[in-house]
Amino acid sequence: MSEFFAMGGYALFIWMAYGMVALLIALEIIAVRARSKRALHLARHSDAGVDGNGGGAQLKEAE
Amino acid sequence: MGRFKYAAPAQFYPLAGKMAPWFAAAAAILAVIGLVIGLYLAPIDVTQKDSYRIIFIHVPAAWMSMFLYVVMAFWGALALAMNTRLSAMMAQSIAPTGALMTALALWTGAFWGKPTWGTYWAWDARMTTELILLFLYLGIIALRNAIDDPRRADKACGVLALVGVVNVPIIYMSVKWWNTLHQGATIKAGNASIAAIMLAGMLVMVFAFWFYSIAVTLVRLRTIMLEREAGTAWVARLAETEKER
Repeated sequence: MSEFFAMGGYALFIWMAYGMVALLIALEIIAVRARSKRALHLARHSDAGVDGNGGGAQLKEAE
Repeated sequence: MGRFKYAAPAQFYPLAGKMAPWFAAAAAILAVIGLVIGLYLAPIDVTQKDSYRIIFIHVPAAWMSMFLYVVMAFWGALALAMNTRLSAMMAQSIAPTGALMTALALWTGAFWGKPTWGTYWAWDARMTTELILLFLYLGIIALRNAIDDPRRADKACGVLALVGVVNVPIIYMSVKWWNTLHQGATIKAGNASIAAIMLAGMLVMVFAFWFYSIAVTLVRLRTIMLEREAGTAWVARLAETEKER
């Protein structure tokens, strides 16, 4: 097992390379899912604009 | 509607939603197979020993970086020519993933270069043009963010994508046209100078990266559709019925 991780002495290079691939792909998936959730949330509450401001005419909510 | 039915965001949105999970699952399965082959089953290389194993992520990332750019430029061109929103959204969805693949190609290449050539980087034709590709992707993303009107951004990004696409064949041919530190093509038509199991592992990973890119792009496209089509009837209807993911 430790032989596997040692990769014939090239462990640093191989795991830095594979590690970055795993990390960035994980981050991309997380980022896309977060953006998707946010877009769905905003679509459901359509009085909010994508950039945080009101999407249309801002009327005070009657409470 | 006919053959342009899916050109409407409202029509393509559910189709993309159905397609994405299949591509994601295929990517995951192929990645596992590819990693088992690349990290375990494939033997060591005569000269490079274990360090060559970076090929199983470096080549797929590099191919995707180029392929995605061409696809992005295609959709950008279509958007410019036909003034279609969805084509532009498609191009917009691809850019971040393309940038990611380019960055990975450069990073994995650097960590392969160090043990093999003694250096993380050289300003040879292959590496320099791939770096330029990264700048192009980042430039397109930055341009998108810099322009407030989405339709104007579509046009500007489409033009930049098209201008930059000339770089892709240059990247590809660079190892043939110039004396480069980077090696020449491993896979030529008819005769691959690489062991069969290594080639198999590489091809499996290429498809894994490809299907991953498609899955992520489709999910991002759906998100962009919701963002840009906010206020339309179909989005309002959808918002009521779409389950939280």
